[in-house]
Amino acid sequence: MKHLFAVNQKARMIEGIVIQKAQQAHAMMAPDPPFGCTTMFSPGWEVDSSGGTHGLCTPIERDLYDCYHTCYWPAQVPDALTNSPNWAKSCGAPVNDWASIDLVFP
Amino acid sequence: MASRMSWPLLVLGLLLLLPMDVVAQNPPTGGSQTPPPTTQETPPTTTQETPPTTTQETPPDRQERSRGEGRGERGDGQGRSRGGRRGRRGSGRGEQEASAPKKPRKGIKVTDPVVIQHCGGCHKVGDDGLMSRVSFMRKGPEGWEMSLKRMIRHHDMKFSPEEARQMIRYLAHQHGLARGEAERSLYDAERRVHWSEEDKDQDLRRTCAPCHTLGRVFAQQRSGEEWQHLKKMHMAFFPNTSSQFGERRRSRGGGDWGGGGGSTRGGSSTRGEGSTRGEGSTRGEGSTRGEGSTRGGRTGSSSRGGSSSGGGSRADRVLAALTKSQPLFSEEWEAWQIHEREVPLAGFWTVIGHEVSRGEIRGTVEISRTDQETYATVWTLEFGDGSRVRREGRGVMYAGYSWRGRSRPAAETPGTEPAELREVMLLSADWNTFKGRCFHGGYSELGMDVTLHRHTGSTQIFASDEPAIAPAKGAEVVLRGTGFPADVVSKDFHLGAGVTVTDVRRENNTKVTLVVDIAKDAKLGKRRISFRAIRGPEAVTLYDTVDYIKVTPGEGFSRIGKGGKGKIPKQYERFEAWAMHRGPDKKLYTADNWQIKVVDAKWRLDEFSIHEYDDDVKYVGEIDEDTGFFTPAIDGPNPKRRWNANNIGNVYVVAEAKLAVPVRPPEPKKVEKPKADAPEGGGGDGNQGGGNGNGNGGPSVAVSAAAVPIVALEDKVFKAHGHLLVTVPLYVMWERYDWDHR
Repeated sequence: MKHLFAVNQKARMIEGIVIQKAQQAHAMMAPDPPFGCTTMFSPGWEVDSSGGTHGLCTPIERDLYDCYHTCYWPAQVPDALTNSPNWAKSCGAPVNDWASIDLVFP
Repeated sequence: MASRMSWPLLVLGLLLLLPMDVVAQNPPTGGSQTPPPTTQETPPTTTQETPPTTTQETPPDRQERSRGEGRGERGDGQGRSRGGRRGRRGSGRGEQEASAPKKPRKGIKVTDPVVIQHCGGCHKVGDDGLMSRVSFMRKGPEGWEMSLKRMIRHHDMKFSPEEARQMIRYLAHQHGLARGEAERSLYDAERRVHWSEEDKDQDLRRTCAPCHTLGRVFAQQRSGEEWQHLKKMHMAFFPNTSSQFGERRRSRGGGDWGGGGGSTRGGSSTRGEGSTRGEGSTRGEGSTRGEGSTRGGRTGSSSRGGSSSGGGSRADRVLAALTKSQPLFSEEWEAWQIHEREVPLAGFWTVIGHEVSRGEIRGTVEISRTDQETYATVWTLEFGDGSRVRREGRGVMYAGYSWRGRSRPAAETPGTEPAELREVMLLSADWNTFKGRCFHGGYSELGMDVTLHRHTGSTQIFASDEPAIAPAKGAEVVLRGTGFPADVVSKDFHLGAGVTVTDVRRENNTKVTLVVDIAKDAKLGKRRISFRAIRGPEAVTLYDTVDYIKVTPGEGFSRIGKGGKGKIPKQYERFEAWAMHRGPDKKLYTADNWQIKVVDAKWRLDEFSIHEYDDDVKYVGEIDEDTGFFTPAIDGPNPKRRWNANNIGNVYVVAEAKLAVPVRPPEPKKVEKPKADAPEGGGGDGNQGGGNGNGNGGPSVAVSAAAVPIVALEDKVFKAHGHLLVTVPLYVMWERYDWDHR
C-alpha cells in the first residue's frame, strides 16, 4: 500500500479524512487498560477477552457461586475454601437476593 | 534396603567424629548440601534461614521414619526445603558437607516484644535473634497489614487494634522498604486507578497479575527461600493458582499445595540420599530446573538440582528473577540502616495539586510532630472550582520516607467535602518534597495528586497557576513559592527570550503575580521561571493556539453498585478535557504534544457499538453535563435488559468545548530551494513568519481577564471522545485498613 498515493485534490481529501479517523480510532481501539489498585482488571471478570463487557456472565449473579465454590476468581469473589466459608449464608439465590450479597473484607 | 538401613549408622558415626560444637551448630540434616548462593543478598542456603531447632530436634534415626510424616507439621516449611536440596546432590557429598561449619543466617533481627509475643509462638526466634519467616522479608505497611489479617483469619490470632498498629509500625519500619523500593510500588499504595502494568515482565504478569496488581509484588523484598514460600502459600490458599504458575503436574503425594505437603516429597527425596534429608524438600528448588517443579523431592535426588535461574515453571522463573531484583538486603536498604534517622518534617509545606474535575489545588500543610514518627497535619486548600477547604489529620512515617495519613474536614469546611481522605506520600531523597495521592471512595477511586514542598527558609519557586499562556500583552502569571522577599522587582524574574516581565505584585512571601508581555514571535514551549539566582521549574508553556482537546482519563473505569439495600459500593469516574497543542513536530496526537490546560466542556455519553442491538448507553449510568462526573447505575440483574443483564457496558464519553483560541499565523512559505535545514526555522515553531497578516480578524476575545491578546482570536468548537467501561463489582476487598486510624 505504501506505493499508492493520492494524485488529485479529492483523493488527498479522502486520504486526510481516513487518516484522521484512523487516528481517532486508534485512540479508542487500542485501549491501555486501566488497572485498579484496589482492583484488578482481569479478562474474564471485569472485562472479556476483547476488553469489553459483552462476554461476561450475564447476569454476573448467575455465576457467582460457581466462582465462589471453585475459587475461580479469588481476588474478585470470596472463596469458600479458605477465606470466607460463610460468605453465601445470607443469600440463597443471588439472582433474586442480589441485594443481600455481602462485601467481604478478608 | 540394607543400604538404607546403614545410613543412620553412617551419619551417627560421622557425628561422633565431629567436635561437639560443630555438631550443635550444624545438625546433620542441615547445611550440608547447600547450593551456591544465587545472589549476595539472598541468604545463600536454606539452612541459613532454617531455625536450627527444626533439624536438631529430629534425630537422624527418626528422620527416615518421618520422611512421609512431615505433612502434619506446621507449615512454615523451612526445614523441609533442605531435603529437596540435598536430594539433588549425590549422597557422597552429603557427609562431606555435613561437617562444614554453619554460616550465620542473614536476616533482620526481631526485637519488638509485641511482635515476639504474638508471632513467636509459631515463628520461633533463634539464638541469633532471627524469627522464622519474619526476619527474611521486608514489606510496606500495606503488606504487613495483610499478613496480620491473614494470621487472624487463618490462625486465629488475637490482638488488640492497638497492638496491631504497633506491630505494623514496627514491622513496616524495621522490615520495611527503602525509598527506592517504596517508589517502585508507590502507584499501588496510592490506589491509583489509571495506570497499566502492560510494560512489565510478561511472565510476572501472567503469574501474579490475573489476581492482584504487580504493585503488591513490587512492595516486597525477600530472601530466595522466602520467595519460594510465597508461592507455596498461594498454592495452599488458592489452589487454582497452580495453573497460573505454570505448574503442570500435581504431586502424587496429594499435597502439592502448602508447606505441609512438602514432607511427602521430602520422604521420596531421601530415597536417593539417605535419611539425613528426610524432612522434605522445597518443591521450588527442584522446580526451578524442570517441569517437575514442585516435586524435586519426589522425583528423586541427584537428577534435580537446579539453581533458581531459568527453567522450571513460570512461577519459578519469576521467583528466580525476583530473588535477584528484590532481595532481602539491597544496597539501598543497607545504606538506610546506617543513616537511619527520623527526618524532621515539622513546619509549613506548600501544596501543589490537581484533582480531576476540580482543577488545580493550591494551599499549605502545617505538619507538627506529636510523637516519634507521628505527626498532626492541618491542610488549607483552594481548589480550581473555587472551594476553600480546611482539613485536619494525622500521619505516620514508615522507614523514613513513606507517609501514610488521613484527614477529616475541619468544622468550617463545607459538608460536601469527603469525610475522610487517606494520604499516601513518599518523601524525596533530599527530604524537601512529598509526592503522592489523597483519596477516598469505595474503591479509593476519587482522589487528588499532590506535591508538597517544604518551606526551607530560602526563596523557592514551586509552580505557576497559569500553566500555559498565548502571546499577549499584560498577561498575568501567578507564582507559588516561598521566601519571596519584600523588595521583589520585575527585573528579578526571567522567563526567557520573548517574554518581558513588566510588573510584579507581591501578595505575601509565598505568592507573587507577574505581569508579562509575550511577543508574537516568542519561541513556543516550556519556559523556566527563575528568580535572581534561583533556578525555578519549567512552570509555564507558551503556545500559539489550541489544536484539539483530549479527554482524560482516556480510558475511564467504573463499577455498578449500591443497588437497593446492597452493600457493594459504586466506583465513580470523573473526566476532564485538556486543551492540547501539536508540539514541536507539528503533528496532532503524537507523544510530543503539550497539555496546555483544562477547559470547560459539555459532557455526554454515546454508544460504543459492538453489535447491532448494543444499548449500553441507556443503562450504565449518567454523566454530569458540566462537571464530567459519572455516576454508575445500580448493581444486580436488570429485568429490562436482554438476559437480565447487569447495568454494565462500554460507552463513549464525549466532551464538547467551545473556545476562543488565537489564530495561528500561517506557516512561512517554503523557500524555493529546500536547503537541508531551513536557515533559522530551527525550532520549527509555526508562528515565526509574519503572523500578523492572517486576514482572519475575527472578534477579539480576551484570553484572560487582564491580558490583551495581540493575536486575533476565533471561536472554535472542539470535540473529543474518551472510553468508559462500566463493569461488575468486586465482592471482596483485600484492602481495608482498620488499624491505620492514626
